[in-house]
Amino acid sequence: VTLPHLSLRHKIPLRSAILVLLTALAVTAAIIGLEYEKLRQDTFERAEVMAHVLSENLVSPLRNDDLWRAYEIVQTPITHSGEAPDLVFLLDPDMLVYVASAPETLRMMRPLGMHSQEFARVAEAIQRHFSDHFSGNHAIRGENTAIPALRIIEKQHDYLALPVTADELLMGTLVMRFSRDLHWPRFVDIAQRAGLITLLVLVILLPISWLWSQRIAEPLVRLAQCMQHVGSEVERTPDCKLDSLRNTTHDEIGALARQFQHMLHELEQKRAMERQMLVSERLAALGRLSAGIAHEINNPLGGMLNAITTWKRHSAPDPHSEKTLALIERGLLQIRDTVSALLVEARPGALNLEPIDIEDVRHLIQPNLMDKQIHLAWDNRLEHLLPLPATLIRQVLINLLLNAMHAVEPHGRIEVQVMQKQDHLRIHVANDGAYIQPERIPHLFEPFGLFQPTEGSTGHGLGLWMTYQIVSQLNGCIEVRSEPGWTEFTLSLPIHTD
Amino acid sequence: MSMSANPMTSPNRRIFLSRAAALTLLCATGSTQADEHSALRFGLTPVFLDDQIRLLRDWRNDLEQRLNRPVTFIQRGSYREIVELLRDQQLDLAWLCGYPYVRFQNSLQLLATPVYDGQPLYRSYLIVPHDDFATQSILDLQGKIHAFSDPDSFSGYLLPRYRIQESGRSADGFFERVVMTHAHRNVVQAVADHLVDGGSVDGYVWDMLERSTPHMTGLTRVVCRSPYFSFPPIVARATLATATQEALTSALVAMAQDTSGQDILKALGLDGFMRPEPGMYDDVRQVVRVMGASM
Repeated sequence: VTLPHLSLRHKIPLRSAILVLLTALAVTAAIIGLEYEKLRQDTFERAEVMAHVLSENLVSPLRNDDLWRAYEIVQTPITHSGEAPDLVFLLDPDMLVYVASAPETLRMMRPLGMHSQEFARVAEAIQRHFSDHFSGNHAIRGENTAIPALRIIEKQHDYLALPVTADELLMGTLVMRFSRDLHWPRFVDIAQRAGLITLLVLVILLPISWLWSQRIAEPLVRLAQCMQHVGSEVERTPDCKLDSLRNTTHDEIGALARQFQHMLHELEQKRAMERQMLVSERLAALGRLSAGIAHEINNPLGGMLNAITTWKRHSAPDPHSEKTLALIERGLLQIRDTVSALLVEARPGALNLEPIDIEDVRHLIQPNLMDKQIHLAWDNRLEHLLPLPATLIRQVLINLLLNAMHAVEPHGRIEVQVMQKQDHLRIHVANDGAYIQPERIPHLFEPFGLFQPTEGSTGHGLGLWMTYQIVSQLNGCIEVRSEPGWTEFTLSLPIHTD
Repeated sequence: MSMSANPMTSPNRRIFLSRAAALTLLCATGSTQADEHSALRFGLTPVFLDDQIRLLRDWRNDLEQRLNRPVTFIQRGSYREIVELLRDQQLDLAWLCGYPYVRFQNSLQLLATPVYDGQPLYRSYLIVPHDDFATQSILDLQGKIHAFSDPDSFSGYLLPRYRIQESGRSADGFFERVVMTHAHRNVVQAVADHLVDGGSVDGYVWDMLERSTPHMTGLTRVVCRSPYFSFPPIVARATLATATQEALTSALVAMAQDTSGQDILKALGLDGFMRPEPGMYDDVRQVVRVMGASM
């Protein structure tokens, strides 16, 4: 059966069901066939016993030419029911009808063959059979006086012919005819019973086979669906829940699931890497651009500020001009602040990060914590001086903590962990505040990336930009992980011992 | 009504025959000691429907009461056997066909004649299958297969042959084949089954069958009825004590006078029994004499 558009989920059970059905039908048909054949053999055997009794009874009437008695004897097996013959007749040695249970069908003293084509064939078969056993004058040939009965199979009837012999002479032939229809009620009975048993077996087997095939098909279907998603969903790797499969089954499907899971994992890693590269490159480009712009702005800006300073020193401006100049100066100073914030230049400075530098940050932010009643879990594991720029590290830590404090609700929680891990400094800042939407993560470290002007906000949206710039200039890396109720920033900075 | 089947093989048959002979011997010794209190042995033949077990039981009981003596019914398949048993003193009386009575009248004594339909007479019927509309007389059945009841039967053998002879043909070889059915009832059956093309049957038996099994007689058609002849009589062996003969005649004649006897007569389809009158079976004798040469 080819069902090109059907899912394996249905195809495998369907095929197995068909297989079960065909098997059941084949077995049933075979049983019925055998039973039917046995039935016919049984009928023949019973008929043979009956024929022997009748033929012994017929010897005396034949010898006395007592036709009525012979008629009564050939009538006895005719009961019009069960497996009785529907016609019994006696032939004389010359193949003339001596008497028949149905005198209208077979006329007395007429050749058997003249009644119908079928009877002609029967007569011929009997003559052929008996010519082997009897000589021309109807005497038995040879030693064996037990002449076997002859079975003749015709289209609608089975015949059984048995010679009636006395004193080694053929006196006549007893023939019994059985209608094939006789077997029909028994056959129907057998078929019905076999059908019923088959049905019972099917009732048990079909659900089992269906369930079984479902179990074979199900992982394949799941794998297939999973693979379809791999093609369509570029952003995320589908969760295929193949774990149960991978772990429990050790067959080909299990291996396939394992391999597939492995492939998905690799794909995911590759994608993450690509995304990071993209972000890094974009941020690097932005860094270069903003550094360029900052340099270009800084030069005229310095000039303008110098000019204002000079003006203020060498002239006595009227109150109106003084007010205007102050306004311009404040604006220019703000521009300078912003530009210098954009232009993060990690000047190495002194490489002398001490544990106390980290502790200073804690003291610094303490008031802010008190305002919001935030719980701070502080874990500073630094024990000695590290060759890292203390100012920049403090700057980064403050930035991260300020963001965290901004994110948490009152009575929220912030975790800080600073530790040396082999040749890296690891800083971990986490909070249970508002989380970062996944779609914003790629743009998180861009200037004004996370900036959301809210009431009372003092930030300018450059904190994470600065942090990123500092970390990347120190050859470190920064990781963000954010899910509802928990956001953590982990940065890792290499320690150069040389 | 039916002959004993003989399913035995040759050695068995020999044993059976020797035993039967011993039995016959015993019976013969018994008969010599017959006295007034031993059972009367009443032989029955298929002149009537002798296959009605209940009727036979009732009739026997009735006779035993009337005679104050046990009665045994003995049935045989052919007239000849009954006649031989009578002549061998192994039967005391028998209901016999008129033809064997006439043939052996010297050793037999008439006891009573049944009265049927108001007279002690009956007829022979010629019957053919019901779908044979062409046959008008027995002469139309020449070269056909014909059923007779018994070669010693008057209505079922001798009379039809007499009729053929009368027409100037020979009764021997008139039919292609003759089937002896050993009973009038079987003649009707053979005709109804189309086993034979025609049959000669006791008219009284056919009438009785029409009453009891009309579906069988319905398959036959009565072509013609013979003239009336004396009804098959009840006869005794001539050696039976005269007093016993008289008692039997009285008992049979008395049946028509009380209800128990009438019930039995009704079942037999008879009006009663009458004392035989002189010259009563002369009609049968006449036919037998004509046919006698060939007997």
